[in-house]
Amino acid sequence: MDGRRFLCVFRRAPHTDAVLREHLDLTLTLAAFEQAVELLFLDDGVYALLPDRQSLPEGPPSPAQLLAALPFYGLEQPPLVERESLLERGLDGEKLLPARHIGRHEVAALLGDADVVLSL
Amino acid sequence: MATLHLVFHPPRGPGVPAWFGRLRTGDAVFLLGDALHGIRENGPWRSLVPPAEGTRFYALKDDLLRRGIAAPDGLNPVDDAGFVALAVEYRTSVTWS
Repeated sequence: MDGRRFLCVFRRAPHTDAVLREHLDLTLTLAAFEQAVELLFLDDGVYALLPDRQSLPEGPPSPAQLLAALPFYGLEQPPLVERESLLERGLDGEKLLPARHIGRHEVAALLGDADVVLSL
Repeated sequence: MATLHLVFHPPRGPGVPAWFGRLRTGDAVFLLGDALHGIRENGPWRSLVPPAEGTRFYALKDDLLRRGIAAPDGLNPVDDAGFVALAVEYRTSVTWS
């Protein structure tokens, strides 16, 4: 472990293309190699925190399923989500996957304090 | 540590864009391509430049020329080499597209 801190920023809606899922794969790979990783959901990425209504037996794992696997990769801290992104999309009252809500002004510090920012 | 914010998208509405709320003192904003429509004469982002003390705004000279946009006070036009120098100067960058 080289002490670098990764911030993985998720900004794409989960079901329009494979970008968000691929980015989650990348994040889990970093975690599997014991890198310090934080997850941050912004803008349309916050839709990924909506739980699955129904699990489908076929196909690749959903973002919700991948997020549920985070603790098995040593990521004990819940992902971060920007409060304003939820408000702008009317999701503030929705039941979401476990996440720590932060304000937009706090995002600046997270970006600045990370050694590597991977934003997709 | 300061962050270089690369903004690629034109304004989507009259309000303050989300990325603007994610700046902190010392950060820099680089407006690229159609993001420059935001700082047209009556563009919604014009009043953000110059913003809070400590934040610098940049754009490529060619992007400005191509769109016929005059750089307002507080916006620093640079060439390609200047862009590369900023990418080196700031340890992290983040793209808002």
